[in-house]
Amino acid sequence: MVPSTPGAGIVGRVARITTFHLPVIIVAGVLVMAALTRLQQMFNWQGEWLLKLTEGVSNFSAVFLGIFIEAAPYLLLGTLASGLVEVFFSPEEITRLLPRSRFLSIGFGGLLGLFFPVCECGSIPLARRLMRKGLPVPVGIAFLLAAPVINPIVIASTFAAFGNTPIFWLRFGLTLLIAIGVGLLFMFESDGNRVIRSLNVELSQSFHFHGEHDHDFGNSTSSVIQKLKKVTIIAADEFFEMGRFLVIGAFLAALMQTVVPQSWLLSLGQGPILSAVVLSLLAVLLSVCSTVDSFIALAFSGTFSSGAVLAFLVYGPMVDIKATLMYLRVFNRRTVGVLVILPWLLTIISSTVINLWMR
Amino acid sequence: MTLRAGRSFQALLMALIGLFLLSRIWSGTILLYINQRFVFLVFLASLGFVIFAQVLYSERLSTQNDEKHSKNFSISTLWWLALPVLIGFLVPAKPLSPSAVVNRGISIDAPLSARIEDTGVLLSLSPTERTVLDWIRLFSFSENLEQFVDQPVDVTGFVFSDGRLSESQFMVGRFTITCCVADATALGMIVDYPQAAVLKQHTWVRVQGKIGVMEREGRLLPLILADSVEAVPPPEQPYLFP
Repeated sequence: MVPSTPGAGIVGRVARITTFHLPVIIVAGVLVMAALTRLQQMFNWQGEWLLKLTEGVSNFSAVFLGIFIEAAPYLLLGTLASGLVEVFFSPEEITRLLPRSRFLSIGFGGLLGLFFPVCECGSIPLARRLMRKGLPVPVGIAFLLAAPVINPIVIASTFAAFGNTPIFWLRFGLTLLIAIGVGLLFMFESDGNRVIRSLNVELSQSFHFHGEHDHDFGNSTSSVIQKLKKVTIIAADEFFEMGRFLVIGAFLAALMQTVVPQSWLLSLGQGPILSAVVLSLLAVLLSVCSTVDSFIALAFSGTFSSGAVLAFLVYGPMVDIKATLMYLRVFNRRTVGVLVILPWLLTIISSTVINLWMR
Repeated sequence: MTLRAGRSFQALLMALIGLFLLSRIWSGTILLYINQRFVFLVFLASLGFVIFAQVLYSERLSTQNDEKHSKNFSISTLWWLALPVLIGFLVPAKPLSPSAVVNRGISIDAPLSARIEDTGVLLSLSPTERTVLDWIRLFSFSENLEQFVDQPVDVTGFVFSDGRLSESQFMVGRFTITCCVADATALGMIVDYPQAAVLKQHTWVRVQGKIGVMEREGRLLPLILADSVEAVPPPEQPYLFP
């Protein structure tokens, strides 16, 4: 038991107020910065710190908008797919598609991304929807972790970057192995509610559409137009629910990129283990979409070992700033811990082995 | 916030996001943020946002009578999505400034983001039309580098100099964008120029001269033997897209 002191109460209150008002505070800060930048340009104010500040503001907003503009179409696509699944598929249809064997169905989950070409922003809402619709949790987890890499768009872009090289094949092999491995861990968790955050928590916090009346429009004989309207509403609600994590993730990534020099991180590690650690952390920090990260990885393949580049390519799509925030929204904390740490350990171990073996 | 107000706010934000993207595509400034090959995708998405806004707006009217649906909207959720719109419309649209190279580093011969084994297209360009990226690509993927020696060169980029270069050298650099600005990497060519020391760091210059070859850590790199270096205004499109 923690003794309740007046200090804790105040801290708690401050914390509650800041989390509630944080977006408003940040919006206000952005307005001030934007005004300052405009005024500086208009009146051509000089002064070293002011120039540095306004330059920082425009670099920050360029990176922030870059990530947002790039990822928003994919998020929209993912939420649209999620809406379509919600309205047009019944739970029975989903379970009927799965292979009988539990092991095979986890493997199937890992390859499901081949039919749903979404990156990590899209795969999280879709995986949650599928799990709520009765997709077994281990299959859903395997899908969640593998789909951002094992899908047609990413296969094509990785091939464009690396061609028919060991890195190309190992990226898909390792991702599938790790996704299935983590999925297997959830096999004994038959109760999905202990993994996914309960509906009630979410309902009380935000939107109304996931409630009991979800089921009645499934049975009703409403027209296709009506159904498509439902799809749009569900997708829009989900876009706003997940979109804020994209915004926060892009905000943090842009802030880090404007403030922390990349060379500083890169100079930290060479060596077989440390290099993999550094590049996997860089993947988290950069938060780029999995559809293009292979092009960025290529830039590191001159200075870093193959194992380290693989760590970037395998771990980055599974976990980064925005994905972690979305995970926290969808799963309970213990599950998020497993989803963040276990793939990381597996990635580091396999990258180290590859580093020692391919040298 | 009531459902009706919440839906209206959602519709407004969706419409603003869509209009922001469309306005940037229309003015061409979208290329300050993303690589050109994603523009069509963003265009489709912006149409999607506008359609979504329309549906949400009409839904606002159809659900208002339905009392059982009037759950509360969390307003803080909606505020977050206002951020990209505010930043987009209020902060002046500017490319990543050359000073960002300090944080990001510059590379002289990094394996490039879009590898092309076939250098035919680049070879067919007149030497003075080739960009920094084209030259570095040619040097990475050509068999016979002798053919380029003494070819005329005319490139534009920002000045970058650091301790690893000699007094009479600087680098002329450009940012390359494979996906969006978040992955911007600077590429640079080394320039031999006796008055290199007087050039101001991070300003834009046009370099004219001849191509030479230099060796650095066992690799052959292009070197510009500059005849003239003149200060120029930043180009309209400061990034190079591989």
